[in-house]
Amino acid sequence: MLQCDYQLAQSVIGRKMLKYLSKEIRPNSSAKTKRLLIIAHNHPHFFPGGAEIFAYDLFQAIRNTDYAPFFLAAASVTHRHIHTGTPFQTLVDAPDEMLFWGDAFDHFYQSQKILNFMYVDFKKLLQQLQPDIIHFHHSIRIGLEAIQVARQTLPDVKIVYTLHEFILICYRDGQMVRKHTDELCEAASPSRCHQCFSEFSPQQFMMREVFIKAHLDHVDRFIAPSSFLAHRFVDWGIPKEKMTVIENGRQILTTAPHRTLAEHENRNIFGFFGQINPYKGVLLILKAAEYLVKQNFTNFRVELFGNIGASTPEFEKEFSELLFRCQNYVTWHGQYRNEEMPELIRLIDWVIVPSVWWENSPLVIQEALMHKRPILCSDIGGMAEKVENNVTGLHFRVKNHISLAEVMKRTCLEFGLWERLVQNISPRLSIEDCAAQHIQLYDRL
Amino acid sequence: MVSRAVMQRLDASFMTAETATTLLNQGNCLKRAGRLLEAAGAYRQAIALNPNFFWLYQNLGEVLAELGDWNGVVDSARRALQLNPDSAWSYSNLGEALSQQGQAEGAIAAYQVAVMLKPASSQFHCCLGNALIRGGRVDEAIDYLRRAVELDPESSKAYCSLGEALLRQGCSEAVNEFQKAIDLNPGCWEAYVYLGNLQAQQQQWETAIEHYQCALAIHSTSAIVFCYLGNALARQQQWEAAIEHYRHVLNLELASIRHPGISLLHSHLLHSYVQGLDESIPRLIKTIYFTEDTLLLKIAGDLEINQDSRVWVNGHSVDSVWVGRSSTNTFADHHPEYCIIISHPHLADQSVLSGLVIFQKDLSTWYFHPDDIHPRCPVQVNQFLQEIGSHEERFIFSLITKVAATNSKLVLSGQYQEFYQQQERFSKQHHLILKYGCWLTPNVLFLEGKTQNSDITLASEIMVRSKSTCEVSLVRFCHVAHQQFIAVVMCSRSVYTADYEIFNLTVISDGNLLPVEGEVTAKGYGLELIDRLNKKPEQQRYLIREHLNRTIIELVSADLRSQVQDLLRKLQCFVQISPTSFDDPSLPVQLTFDYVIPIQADGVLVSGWLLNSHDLIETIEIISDLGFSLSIQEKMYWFDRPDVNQHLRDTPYEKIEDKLGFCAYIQIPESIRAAFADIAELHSFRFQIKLKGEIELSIVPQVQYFDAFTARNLIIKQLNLPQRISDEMLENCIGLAAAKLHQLCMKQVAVQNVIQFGEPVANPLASIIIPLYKQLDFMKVQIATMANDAAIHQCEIIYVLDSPEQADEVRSFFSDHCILYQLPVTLVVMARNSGYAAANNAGAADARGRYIVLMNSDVFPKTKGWVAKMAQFYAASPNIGTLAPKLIYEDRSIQHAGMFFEKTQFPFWINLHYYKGFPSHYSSAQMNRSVPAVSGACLMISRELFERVDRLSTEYMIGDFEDSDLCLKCAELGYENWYFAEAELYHLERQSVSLHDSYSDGLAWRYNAMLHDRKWNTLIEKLMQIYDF
Repeated sequence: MLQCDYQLAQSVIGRKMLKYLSKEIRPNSSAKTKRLLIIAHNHPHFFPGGAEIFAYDLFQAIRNTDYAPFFLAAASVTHRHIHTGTPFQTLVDAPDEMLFWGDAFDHFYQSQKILNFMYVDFKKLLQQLQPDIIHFHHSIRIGLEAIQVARQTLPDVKIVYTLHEFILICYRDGQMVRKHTDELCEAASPSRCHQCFSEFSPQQFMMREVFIKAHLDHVDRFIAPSSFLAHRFVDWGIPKEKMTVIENGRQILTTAPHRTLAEHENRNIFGFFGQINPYKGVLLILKAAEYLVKQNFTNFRVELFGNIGASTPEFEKEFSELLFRCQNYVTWHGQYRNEEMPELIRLIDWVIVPSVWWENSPLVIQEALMHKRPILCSDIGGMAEKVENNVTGLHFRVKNHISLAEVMKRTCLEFGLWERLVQNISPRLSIEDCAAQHIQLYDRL
Repeated sequence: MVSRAVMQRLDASFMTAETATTLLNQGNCLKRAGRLLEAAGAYRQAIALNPNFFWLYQNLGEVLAELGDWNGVVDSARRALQLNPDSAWSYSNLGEALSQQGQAEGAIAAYQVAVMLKPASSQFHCCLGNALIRGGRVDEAIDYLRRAVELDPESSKAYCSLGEALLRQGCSEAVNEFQKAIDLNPGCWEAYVYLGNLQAQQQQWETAIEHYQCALAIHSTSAIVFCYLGNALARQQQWEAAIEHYRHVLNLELASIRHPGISLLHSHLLHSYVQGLDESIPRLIKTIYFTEDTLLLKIAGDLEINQDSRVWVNGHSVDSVWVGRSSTNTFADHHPEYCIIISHPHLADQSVLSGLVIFQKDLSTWYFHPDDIHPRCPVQVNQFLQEIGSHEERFIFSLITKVAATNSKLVLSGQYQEFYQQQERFSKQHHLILKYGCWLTPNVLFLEGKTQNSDITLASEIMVRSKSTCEVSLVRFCHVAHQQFIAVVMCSRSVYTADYEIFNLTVISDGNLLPVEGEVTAKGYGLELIDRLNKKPEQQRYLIREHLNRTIIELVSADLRSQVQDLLRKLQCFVQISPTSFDDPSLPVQLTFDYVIPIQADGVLVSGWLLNSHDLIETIEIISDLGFSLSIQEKMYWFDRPDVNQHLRDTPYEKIEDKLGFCAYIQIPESIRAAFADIAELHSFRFQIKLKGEIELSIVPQVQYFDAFTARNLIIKQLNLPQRISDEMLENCIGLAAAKLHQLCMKQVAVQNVIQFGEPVANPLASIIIPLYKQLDFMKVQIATMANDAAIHQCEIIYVLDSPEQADEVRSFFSDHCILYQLPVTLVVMARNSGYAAANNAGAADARGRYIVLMNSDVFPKTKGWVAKMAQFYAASPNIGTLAPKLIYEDRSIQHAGMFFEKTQFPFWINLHYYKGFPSHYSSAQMNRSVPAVSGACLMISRELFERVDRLSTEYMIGDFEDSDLCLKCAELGYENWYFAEAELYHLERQSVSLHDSYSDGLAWRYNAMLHDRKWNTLIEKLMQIYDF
């Protein structure tokens, strides 16, 4: 089984993860004074999403602090079966990491279906670990009941909950984009949610909200990686005084060198990193390119990196048609691995983040800024917050390819703009600093 | 309970057959069986079917002749002759009828034609001769009679008639003719009578008496002969003998017959009795000891003795007295005669018997001297009985048999045995042959058999006699075919088991004893009888089942009622009855029954549609298999059935716009109901539709048996057409039936079990009662929202599951969630879906809290501490009856801020909510205040008051108005109902009720509203004057 997991790890995650997995972990337990239980909604080994990677990185970083962390990943483990009589199993032979079998999960109520996993097994785990702090990175797969059991089992424990997106508010994968119109959604309400999901009555959405909030009531502190996200949740009903914003820190790598310009060359190469799907807005780039060419502006190139995923046949058809029409200016390179980013970004002057949904604190923005590439992004949500317009990048009207085209044209024509923006990019928050901020927060609770 | 007419009609309907030929055969059978009226009926039916078959008239005439309906005979003979003018027999019938009617000339003419048509018939010549004698044409008569004798020299009748004719002419040759008649047929008693008369004419009384006695020896029941003999004896001054013979005449009930001797008879009788006898003083006629302690007295006189009369023997009141009023009268002045049997140990001590005193009801007292009572040495019973006369004998036998049933000493006595054997010998040729006998329960005996040379009265008695004991019980017969009967007997087990289940059965029918041949072998406490019935033809199945049901209900004694319940149920449930209908558009009448819903013992609701466009229907009767029938026409309410009108469009009726749907609730009269209410449930029904022109049609509808709950829901659901149903119809028909069913439902409400999850809360502040019905996903949310409220932990939470089919699911839900959320819960599982009020009441039954909080499962607290706040407010205001919080919808608009009453489009008060749909912070809704009523979705009431007003009323169907009813009950006691704005809960209204498939709209609601209005109209009016909007 372990062998199989290694193969999987090699293919999916690559070198960086292997380093984590094979590392001899010897926490200096004698120096530790406090115990921390980190619960994530998946393990980066199975799904290398931003939130999962961040939770795991944070866990790694906290190992070097006063806190003894324990990492529990509520994994959706398609390659694994549940052990009889326990929801727990392990991924690697590490004393402070464990998996929770998370496939009996009710996504509507965010609720665990097998409740004795909670009031027997999870409770026993808590009694065993006796954590001072429990930090949820999401409650998906483990279920909100874990919060209830935590509070009951350990009345004095402090519960921290990091909000990574809007799943608790919005049943549509936490996107807050209306289902039938793809319109951006400003606020959830039972009747609006029912319009997106007619199979659930408004009353049921009310019940969902009431149920979720009844459990969140036990949480002592919420952390949001962006103020935008924090506001949304405060508007939804989370007490303002419980909310803290902490940027997602990350591994700081050496900045990839900028492209050396030949004579008469411009900073006119745009890059897109991310999945080719409707929400990431890649079509806007193609439409903008086509528009620019029609306007006889052809002095630019676009490089697209990413695999097609989570899309529809119509979307794929439109994507390939547009790509075909723009083939002289746009190149699609297909799937890439995150570790390849420093190599790939060397060819790029500008990074475009054209998402048509809110985004919170997208990884690609952090990466691009770490490599000191200015960003063109949609003027909404987490993107607008993380990229300051005309300071570290440029905003364009969300879902508007003409606006994007105008901004692209400006970046190519305006002398000194690129250099000015690059200069304004400050260093990113490291995972170590981020861990320190968390420790500070834990200590204050 | 069951009218005899119904029974006869059933019998007749069984006999109904399709063709005239079968009817003719049936008629013949009936005629042979002596069931003359029925035979006549069969022939008439056959004639109706085939009026041109002269033979039918012929046979009908014969039956009518036997019945003495001479007009009828004349009529049928004439009809027969129209069809077949050459039938000598018909002329003969006609002649006989006319002669009986005294139309001698007509009779003569008819016989003359008969003789002409059949000149070789001695019989017709003889008849003609007789007719001529009656017509005074004796000379002509003699010619024809001589011819008759020539044609058939062996005919004693002809000689006899010839003798009579000659006698009329005073011709002494007559003697020879009579002698020839007697020679040819020694049984020709008429000849002896004529000889007697001849001697009497000649004043030769002794020989006359001899001849009369010869005649009587042959024919012992001829009243006329007794009379002649009496006359002859009287002439000879043999008064006593004369009186005895006259008495026979009376015994033979000759009084009504016109006879020249009758007045003479009376005068003679009076004459003889007046001498030395005072009629008014009761006299002992006969006395006999059966055993030393059983005495039979025969008393005559002007007294009224019945079971209320008291008899004293030697100064002791005696209970064991049987009294029977004799069916015959020995005395001309009709003083009644009684047989009294006294069975008492005191009688045994004859040495001190000081006399017998009878107290009558009117306090008159009769004393009999002991010397009159006991013959010192007992006579032989048979001798004694012969002295009384054979008719009396059987009457006494049935009386003594009743006594025997209680006195085994008597049964075993030699006197009785002798008596019994005598009776048995007498009735040897009359008996019943048992083909099948089966104990259906230890006390109910079912018999199937044949009658042999005997008629039986349908309601008779039967004696069950084993070696040591016997019992007389009632038996009910029913003819199922020619000479075939079934019968039901109730019998004590101790009697037939006394002698290893060897016992005899003897039917006592009209004083006749009919021994039953054959043995009861089977015990069929299971479905044996049902299997047997199911193999019989369908008509017999009905007949037998109805007879069985009816008889059992009629005969069963109180202590056996529970025993036969099961039997009755089996008979109703398992006898196969195939439904019939006439769904044929070519028929002049279209009638379909969609539902037939029996409602316990109270009545039956039928609905369907009827097209009676030619107005052919005279009556529609509903016949229960319990053996009674009721007319339904007067009870029918009509409503629109567009589907039927549409259906008829494709038939020859085409466009019909009438209201064709009907519904009727037929209540069963108290008299009928009382007979079966506690032992049998109404089950299946047939319909008998009588059309003009004596046509009867039968429909056996497909009747399923529904339990009260299903039936109620069926009515509410299937007839849920409020726009088509008038108030009158709702009130008198559908509502009445549904309410009755609802009452039955409420009687059946029971808790299946109570399960406690977690430790019960000690001294709870409040008991929160939450009924659950079908939709369960609320619970998850409700528990989560209450779990972390400290105030809730002071309360006990009682969930009442009103859809018990979900018990497993709910139980496992709570066993998980109560541990997970550490919240104790009591789960009450109803035995079946019982409705909002019943469920809440069941939950409240064991509640311990100071307050009761009624809460819907779709109500979720918005904030914590609400229950404590409400309890505080309640405690602070002594005048509060009910207290209810603000309830809001999921969109945060107001669902409840108190209720008021209003008359809108309905003719009754309905419940409305203040500010419904207004913003939750609408200023007027922010104030605690008293209101006319509050919603039951979430309300608090002190437990003491809740009990005092007898909890929620359960008379409303399915759930509406119970809350306002509760509030009004409080208001009636002077309490106020308060809206409490400081607590706010979500109420996701109507999610559960709309799932109840029989609620959806209309009928139940309207019924409830009417009920509510009727109950509270006055109080509501008063309240609504106090409360402004």
